Amino acid sequence: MNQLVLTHHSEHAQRHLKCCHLCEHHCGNDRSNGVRGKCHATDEVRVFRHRVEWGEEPELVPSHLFYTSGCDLRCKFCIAEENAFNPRIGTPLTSEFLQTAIAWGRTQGAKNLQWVGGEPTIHLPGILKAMREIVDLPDIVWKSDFYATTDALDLLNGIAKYYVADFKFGNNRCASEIAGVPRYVETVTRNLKHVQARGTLIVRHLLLPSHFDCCFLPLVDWISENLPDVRFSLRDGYLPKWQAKHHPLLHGFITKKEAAAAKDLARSRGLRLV
Amino acid sequence: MDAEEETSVTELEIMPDGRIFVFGASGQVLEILSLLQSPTDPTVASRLCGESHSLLDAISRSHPKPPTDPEKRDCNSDILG
Repeated sequence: MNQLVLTHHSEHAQRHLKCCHLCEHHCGNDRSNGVRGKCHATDEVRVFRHRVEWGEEPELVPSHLFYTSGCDLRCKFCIAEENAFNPRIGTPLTSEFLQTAIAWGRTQGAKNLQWVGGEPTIHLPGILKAMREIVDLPDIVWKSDFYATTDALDLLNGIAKYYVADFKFGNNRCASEIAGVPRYVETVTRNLKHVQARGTLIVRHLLLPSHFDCCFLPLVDWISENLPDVRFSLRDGYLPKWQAKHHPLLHGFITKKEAAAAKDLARSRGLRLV
Repeated sequence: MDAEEETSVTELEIMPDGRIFVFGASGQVLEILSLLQSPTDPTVASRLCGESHSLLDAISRSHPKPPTDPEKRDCNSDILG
């Protein structure tokens, strides 16, 4: 990674703390003065968990994941539950903490550093600032809901080697009802195209119960038409966490049969399944 | 939270149909799961057989004797998913 690029992007990112346009909510709030946007985050980044994991896509493992608290979405099924939505949870991110944690991760075999959330993009200024001070930074994996602005994604150009995009919904009605965000499909699809040539892009989709026709099908069709060469990571391990436990359509599970049908359909559309 | 994070456990959820969902799998947990064979799902194997046997490298650093000999591993075999 080019240190000059990291320094430049880090300095450029700080202005979002005065007038935040990192995500498509465009709150414009002065987070440096404690004014919280839809993500509820100020200028402080907190890490609520970090660990070296082997459950990621094969080309990424073993990956050292840093989970930041706070998110711009409000997915009712979020597996991280309160950790994802409360940016006050966790250890404040400092370059000293990050340097020590990276060193520990290396002893565990980690071959990259992966930022996850919550949603790490809302913390781009703080994350870039912390990374600037790190000597011998590992490859960076950016795992995101891709509800970012293109301006935010540009701050990762030349820094992130891998992008893991969580493409959750295939239509705006479901995105609005389940995650509480408008203009979801046009935002995510725009962003996928925006970064596709900037690194290795992996598109993930977690199958949701009762959302095969409305979400999975249009999503697969869009990818096959627009990003036919992208790596597609289809996840069938849905668990009804957080508010989904009591949701009429989200409280169930994905059956083996449904998972197999989804994989067959993705293959029939020519997608490159991970 | 310490930089050396030992509090983050791997979460396992076992479905009524026998599927095991694993969240935050450590290398050691995945190694254990690989001992349970599945005829259809290569996902665990593909990770264990990833570049340079890095899981086994990591395990060998923390154990005097690795639990599995990388030379005898069949990277094309199907292991539990």
